[in-house]
Amino acid sequence: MMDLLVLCLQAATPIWLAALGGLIAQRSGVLHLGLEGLMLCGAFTVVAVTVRTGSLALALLIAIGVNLVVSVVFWLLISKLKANAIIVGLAISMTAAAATTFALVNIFGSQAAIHTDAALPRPLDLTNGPLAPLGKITVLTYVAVALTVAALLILTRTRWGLRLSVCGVDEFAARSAGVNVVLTRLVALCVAGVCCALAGTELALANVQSFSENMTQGRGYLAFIAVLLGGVSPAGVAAASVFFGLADGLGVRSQLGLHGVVPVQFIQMLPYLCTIGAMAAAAVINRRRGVAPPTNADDLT
Amino acid sequence: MIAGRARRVLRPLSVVVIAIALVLLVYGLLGYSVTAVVDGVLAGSVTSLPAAEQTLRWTVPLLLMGLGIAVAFRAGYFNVGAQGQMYVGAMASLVVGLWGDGRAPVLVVPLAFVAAVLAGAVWSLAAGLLRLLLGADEVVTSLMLNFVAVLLLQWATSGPLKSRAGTGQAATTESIDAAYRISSSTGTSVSIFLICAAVVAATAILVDWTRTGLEISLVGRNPVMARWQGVNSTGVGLLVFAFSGGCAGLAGAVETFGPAGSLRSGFSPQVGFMAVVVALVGGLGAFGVLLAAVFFGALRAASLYLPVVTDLPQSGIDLLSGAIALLITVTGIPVVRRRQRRRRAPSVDGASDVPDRLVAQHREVVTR
Repeated sequence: MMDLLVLCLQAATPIWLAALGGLIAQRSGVLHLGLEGLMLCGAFTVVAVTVRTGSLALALLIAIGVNLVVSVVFWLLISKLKANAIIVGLAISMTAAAATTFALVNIFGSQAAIHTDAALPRPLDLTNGPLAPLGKITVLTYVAVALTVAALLILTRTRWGLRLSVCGVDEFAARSAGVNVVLTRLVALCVAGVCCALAGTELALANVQSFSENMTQGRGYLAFIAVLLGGVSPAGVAAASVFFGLADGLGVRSQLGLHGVVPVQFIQMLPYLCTIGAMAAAAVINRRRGVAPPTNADDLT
Repeated sequence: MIAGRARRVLRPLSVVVIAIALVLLVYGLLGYSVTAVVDGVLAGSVTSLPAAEQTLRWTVPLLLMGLGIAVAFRAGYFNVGAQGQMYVGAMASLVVGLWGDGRAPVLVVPLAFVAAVLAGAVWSLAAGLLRLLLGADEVVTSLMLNFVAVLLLQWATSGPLKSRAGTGQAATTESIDAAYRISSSTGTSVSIFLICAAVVAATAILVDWTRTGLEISLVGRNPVMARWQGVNSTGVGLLVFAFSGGCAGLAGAVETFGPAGSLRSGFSPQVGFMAVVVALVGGLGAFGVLLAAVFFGALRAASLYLPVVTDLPQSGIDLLSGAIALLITVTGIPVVRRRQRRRRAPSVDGASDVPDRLVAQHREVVTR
């Protein structure tokens, strides 16, 4: 039981960290589909720098730097150059997949996975006893918990959090109240970039201690989904991420245990189907409350 | 009028040129020989007959899906679920193809294509109905349905449809009867081109020459005004969702009965999103999409060929597609926009983008 819980937490942590970034971005009114790409950039940079220098701190710092640059480019494209956020977000994910593979070949000579000895600190050191599996949890899982609490406090208890949320709910009202929407979004996207760097670090260094081509495999999109399924609130996002971790853990389990009764793919579909259901339910509730449905996509031609 | 049309052509063209320049600069800085790369791209996509054939083979799915997406985008519906719709269509056609099992091709093949189009349309309408009846954001739901379709294909290729002849590891389905194939593995044949020509013509006619096409554009430009004009916007919405899903399903069937012959888990992973880029680069018009599809088809063909002749990895060419995707929705550099705003003070952002042709057509409707 404890094993399964730890397995789920480990699977959930990268998604959780990225989803917290996506939460802040979405609160500011940007649907962030670039989480996948940012995670991949973070994972690659961390592993590449630790392989070359051996310093985890330096690697993390550089990964955060890289993700900040990508996030600023994202911000420039969508707010200064008025590009469509969804297309640019998807494009960032696609370009990051190409760019990390390209960099892998250019720096390390082949497309093969690169391994590193660097490991994340694991605060609980329990060698035996019933709680022993908890010792496998890395520091970043605790960081995710801390960031969730921080996000909750910032969004509900600070002036900046309120301003951030207004940007997403009603841009016009925010501007009338003197909030600099464009600048707020820059900060929000940078926060998302940093969160994704942490997510990539956890993904690359927690278990596999390596980077391989396109290793995120859709976890960034799961993070985006966790934001929506969690109702764009910190507690909801945390719950949704842990649920995805659970689906992942159960998927692994059912492959071993429930052999052939329920195909593993159908368990993996659950997060997506739940989100579709949740989106439909939210739309119905919003309509009852008299909130207008989303406007049509514009500025495309 | 000419200015509006020129802008519609010039903008995507300049984005492509800028992206190419940027990527070539990156190659140059990293020490690749730029001329060798350009030569390699041309050799891998156009200058020989097999290369041109490869280009066309990769053009076909982009074209079919791009046309459907263009129509949906025209109506303002952001259907990004083409990937999943293609997978579902491919699976439906494969099931019919395997069921055929020696029956006359003239019966089985059309049936398989109808099944594929219907499956794609239904998959797309799932997102469409949620949007039109409940108001659920179609970007999210169609994206979700992509992931569901990917897993469905994974299940089908490793479970019920799995090839018994295979080594047991590869997730590949049984192959359909060779008599049903509409092309060899090169993926080019007269029947495939006829299908493409028919869909291009149908899209062009629908968009530019019919009342429905005008209604689609109206709904996209201004849904409120469209409703005042008596346009059945729910009907138009369902139509474009079904059309784009049907096109993607058709692309899946062409892939199955053409070059592939069987299905592999996660085949052509990027093609759904690339089709979105194709639709945008093509300016959401039938002939523009055709040109854009050939361009991206050539890139795809070149990216498979290039690692053979130069030391540039395949991901190097994918960078170019990525750069174009990043830039294609940019609607103006700030300096230019500010000048425009001063000139036409009362216009709202984006309204100035309405093509003159549309305005003229719209006046016609009003007076009618």
